[in-house]
Amino acid sequence: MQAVPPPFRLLSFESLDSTNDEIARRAAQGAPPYLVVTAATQTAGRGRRGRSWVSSPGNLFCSFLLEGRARADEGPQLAFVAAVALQDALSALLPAAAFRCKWPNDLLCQGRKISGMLLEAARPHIILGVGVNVTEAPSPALYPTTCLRALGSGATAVEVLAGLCETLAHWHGLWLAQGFAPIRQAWLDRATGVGGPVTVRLADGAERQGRFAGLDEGGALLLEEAAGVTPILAGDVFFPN
Amino acid sequence: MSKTSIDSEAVRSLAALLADTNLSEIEYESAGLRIRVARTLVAAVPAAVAAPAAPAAAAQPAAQPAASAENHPGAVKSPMVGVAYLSPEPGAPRFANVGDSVAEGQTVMLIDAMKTFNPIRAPKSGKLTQMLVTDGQPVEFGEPLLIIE
Repeated sequence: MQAVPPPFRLLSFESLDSTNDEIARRAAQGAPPYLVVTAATQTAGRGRRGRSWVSSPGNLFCSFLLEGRARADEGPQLAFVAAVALQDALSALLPAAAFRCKWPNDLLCQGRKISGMLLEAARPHIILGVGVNVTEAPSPALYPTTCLRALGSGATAVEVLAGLCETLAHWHGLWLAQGFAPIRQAWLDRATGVGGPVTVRLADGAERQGRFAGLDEGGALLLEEAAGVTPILAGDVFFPN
Repeated sequence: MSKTSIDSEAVRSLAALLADTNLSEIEYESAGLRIRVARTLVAAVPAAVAAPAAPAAAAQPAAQPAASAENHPGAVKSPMVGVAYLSPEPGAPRFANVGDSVAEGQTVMLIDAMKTFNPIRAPKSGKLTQMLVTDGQPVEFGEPLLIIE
């Protein structure tokens, strides 16, 4: 088993229900932060709002227990920390590929989704679950998909995880030391669609169209419509082709 | 405009707005400057307060409990801005319903912001007597979510 760089400690499993659930169980038992759990397969991989995450062997499924901050409303900032860290890790593997962050924390390459994240508060810590399509691109659901292998990388899931631990340690440390401002800027530098037209599907199914005017100070997507600018905190984001 | 100078014109127009609308408080923020104008509504002017308030109360019966919920000792308030979810996923049973007995530490709803899910746990055991938000509703920091008695 390949080690992960400090401060992370790795626990590897052949199979788990979900790496986030395993981290949650260990956090409830008092596990300290910087624990990383990975599984070769998940039997109940989860996405946002009960969506299942197809867990094809060869892809990366991992969860981190990260040190949070005292205030609950700072937790969502880690969604951007994680997106920036993964963008760096994948870019190191495939420097020629243009990985872009899609609000709040998916990664796209050529408009196709290559990763997904699910963060859950386990105060004072945060559980960060990351799925990366390494060797296989699942059938498209909401968005078209791709994988590292299709983009020309021979990296394994373990190698992707090791790289992600390096970049996550850097960006998480920067967040702890300097707060959200440098993270927000780094995310904007790596983002897709800022300034252009966007469609947001809200929790109640309603769709709103407007211009992606940027991020507010907390990371909410600023949707500019004729009537004004609205910060969007949750929803599915679509860009026109 | 300097951020430190007092924009008396703005304060004056907010004060006029306060009187016009019968509100007790207006907070306005623009270009980094925040102005809060507040007054105490006293019983000496009941006619002015009561007259417009009556039809509004009739049209929105939910407004009154929400206002008093702010100071209710059993109110559970949102720790963050986000979107409230009353069930773990669409179509699934709710975490808790009005009338349910809930145990301390039990998850009663989720607040989602930027795909980060924050479980809201019952701070004490008791009966869920009021649900103050609906599924998928955006909530503000400190907004009362539900009441446990």
